[in-house]
Amino acid sequence: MMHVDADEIQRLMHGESDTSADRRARAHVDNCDACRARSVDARRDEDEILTLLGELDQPAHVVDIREVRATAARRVVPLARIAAMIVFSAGALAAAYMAPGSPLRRRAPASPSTVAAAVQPSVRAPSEIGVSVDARDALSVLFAATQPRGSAIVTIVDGSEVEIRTAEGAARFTLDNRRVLIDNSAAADFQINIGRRAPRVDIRINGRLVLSKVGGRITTPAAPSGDGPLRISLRTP
Amino acid sequence: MPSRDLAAADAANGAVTGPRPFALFASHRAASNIARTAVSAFERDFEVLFNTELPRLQRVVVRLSGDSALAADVVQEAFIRLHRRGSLPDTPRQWMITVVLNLYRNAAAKDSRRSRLLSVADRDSLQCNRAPSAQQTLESSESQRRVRAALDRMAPRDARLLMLLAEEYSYREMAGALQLNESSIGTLLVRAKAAFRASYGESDDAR
Repeated sequence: MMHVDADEIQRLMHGESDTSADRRARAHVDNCDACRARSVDARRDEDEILTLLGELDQPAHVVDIREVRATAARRVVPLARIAAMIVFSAGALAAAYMAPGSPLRRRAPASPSTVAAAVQPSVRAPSEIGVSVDARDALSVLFAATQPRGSAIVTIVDGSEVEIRTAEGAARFTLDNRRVLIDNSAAADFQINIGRRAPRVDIRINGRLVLSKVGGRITTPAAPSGDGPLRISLRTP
Repeated sequence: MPSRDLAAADAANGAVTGPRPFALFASHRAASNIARTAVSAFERDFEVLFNTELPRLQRVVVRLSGDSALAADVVQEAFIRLHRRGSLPDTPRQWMITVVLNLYRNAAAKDSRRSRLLSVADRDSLQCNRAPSAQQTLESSESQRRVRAALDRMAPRDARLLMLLAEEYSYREMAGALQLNESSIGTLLVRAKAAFRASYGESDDAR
């Protein structure tokens, strides 16, 4: 084998060597006096530079985690106001929708969105409970707990909305900033439709990441079922 | 898709029947409990990350800027942004150093900051004010000045690569934070170290 180059010496020195070529280079360095000497020189040179950089250190100013949390919470307030305005507007829209002879009924698409569902109770108890969120920003779907049984079927659909509903059983859904919190203490099956244009969607069960969609890339250990949707088990792994 | 009429199911179970309010408007207390469960897991992870990453992030910015107050501001802002995000990213360390370096770059670009960051005279003055009488500290200040001058003459990317190397970030994290190709990091580190050597040599010549 030829002598290793400077890049390879760096990779070996920093523990970044994981390919078979790296292993061959490691073996070569172990048996080649010239390359071993270059490795030793490179290590010494780096140690000297890092020591010099350490000269720049100063006593650190205190950063208090309580202040971080408090500031973060204060900044969320305007978002909460915006959310309140959206809910108020949705309510007004629902009222307009319910008005006798409302033209909205002819125009509004049939969808289990929050607005449409909000007017349901005065008509009839909903048989499917769910929530629909326009996820143009990042959205996290958080199942509070694992279940003794049940699963979530995830389907990628057109649009940017994320729609979650129970397919069977009961659950409670709460919108909190960019999160949908799901109380699934009563075991249930869920249907989750994720819009292709939703830029980032995470699904977690009791904090464990089970699906991540970033742009067009979906990462999940779940296997696709026959017709394409993904089935995510909600049971304790 | 299979579905079940919950009102009918409740009736079969002897529950009080009637319109079930849409879950989004369910009892506030139940919703708060769920939120607390999810949030407490995040808060725990956040605190662990805060405790492990804070010192190294501050060191990176202090070494780049020579301004520990600025470093505290930048790192605090990055943690605030992470907290507002509400969940940890897939690669929290890389996310944090990327945000910190971006915030630092923005801060350094402001004129008021720039004068504060780049004025070696001010910096020396500050350092002297901190410990004016100790000979050892004066020697240290001289050494600091030379290292600082060497870094200031280097390309910013090379200086940042050295800082990340010093804090033992992986090649993947370096590449992500500086928007570089991971396979080129080894070569770039060789160049950055050579550039520092050359620049530090110039500082030596200038003495």
